[in-house]
Amino acid sequence: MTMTEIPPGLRDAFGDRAAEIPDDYGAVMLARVGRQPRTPGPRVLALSAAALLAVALAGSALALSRRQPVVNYPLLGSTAVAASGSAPATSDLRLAGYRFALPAEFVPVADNCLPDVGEPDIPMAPGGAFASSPAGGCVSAVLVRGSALPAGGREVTVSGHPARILDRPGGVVLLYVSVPAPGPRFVLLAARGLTAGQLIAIADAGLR
Amino acid sequence: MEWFNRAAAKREFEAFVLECTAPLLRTGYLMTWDRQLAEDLVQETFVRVARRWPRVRGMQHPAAYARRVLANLALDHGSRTRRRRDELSEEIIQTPDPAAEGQLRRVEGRRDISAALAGLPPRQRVMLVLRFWEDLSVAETAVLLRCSEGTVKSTTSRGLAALRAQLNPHEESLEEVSP
Repeated sequence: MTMTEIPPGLRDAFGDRAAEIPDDYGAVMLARVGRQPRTPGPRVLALSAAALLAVALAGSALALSRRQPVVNYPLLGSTAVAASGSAPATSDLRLAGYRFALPAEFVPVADNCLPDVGEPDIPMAPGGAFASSPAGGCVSAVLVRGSALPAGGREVTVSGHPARILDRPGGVVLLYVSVPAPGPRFVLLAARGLTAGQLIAIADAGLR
Repeated sequence: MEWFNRAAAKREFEAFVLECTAPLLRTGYLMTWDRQLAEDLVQETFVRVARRWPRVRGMQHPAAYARRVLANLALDHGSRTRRRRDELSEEIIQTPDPAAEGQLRRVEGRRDISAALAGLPPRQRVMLVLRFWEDLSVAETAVLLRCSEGTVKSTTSRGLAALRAQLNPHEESLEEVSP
């Protein structure tokens, strides 16, 4: 063997170590940021700063040149602010690059506000975004791994993606949407206080 | 229109982060052999990319640009670490580091390529990762790191030799190859 030959096992050693990083790590990180933890760590802050900078820089040139109102657009898991001041503020859930606009009475919250409906995906999913309403409504968005849509319920199409909607006790509605790989295969929206049609509409707009 | 552009830029950047985090983190992890450090460097990479996002988003390969930033951050960190090490007092340097000694013994004993990689100087490991994990050519690696092809060849060769020396400490004759 000459010194320029690759030692046996080098690529395997690289591969073994690289395999420690899951494909969906980006989604997990974004989901974590979207959840807006109360005490964000340095990595969360850095990612937030990066994304905020991207937003600010992308719009700054136009905003400066045209002297029109600049959109102040909080990035991660918070309430969006209207551009001109005349439009009402709306809330949205941010998850892995998706933004789900919510009815006006809903505001993002840090923790899951849904009752336990025996849905293992909800607590097990890495990260998530949640919103609640004063009337006791709740919406959650999480990323879910899986190879097939869950059984039961009824099949629907959401923004061109196969999806399935299921009813659960306590007026909870679950909507699994199969989203393109890589990473988690499904976005799971779960809601209490919203109809199936409302939930589908929210998902449809957010996944376009 | 500003709203549209800002929202589009934000969404593009989020999609970029979504797509590139895992590959960048893998590369960074291999370059540094330290996952925590790799995560920090990837975050810094995204911060730097974000500062130039209006320009980067128009590039043909934004991910390649991010990889370049990451590689340079890894090299910078390696240089800083080395400088700090050089600043240690002679007394400390002359005192054997039990952890390093133990690691060396483990390498010799188990001939563990993973431990051998961990013991490489950062610059050599970065070169090996770019060449044999990212499968970049010598020319591509030189462009990415903004150095000469000869530097890539010689550093890669030294890295492979160091690996072999750790994996086969008693091997007597090694064929030298010019860069």
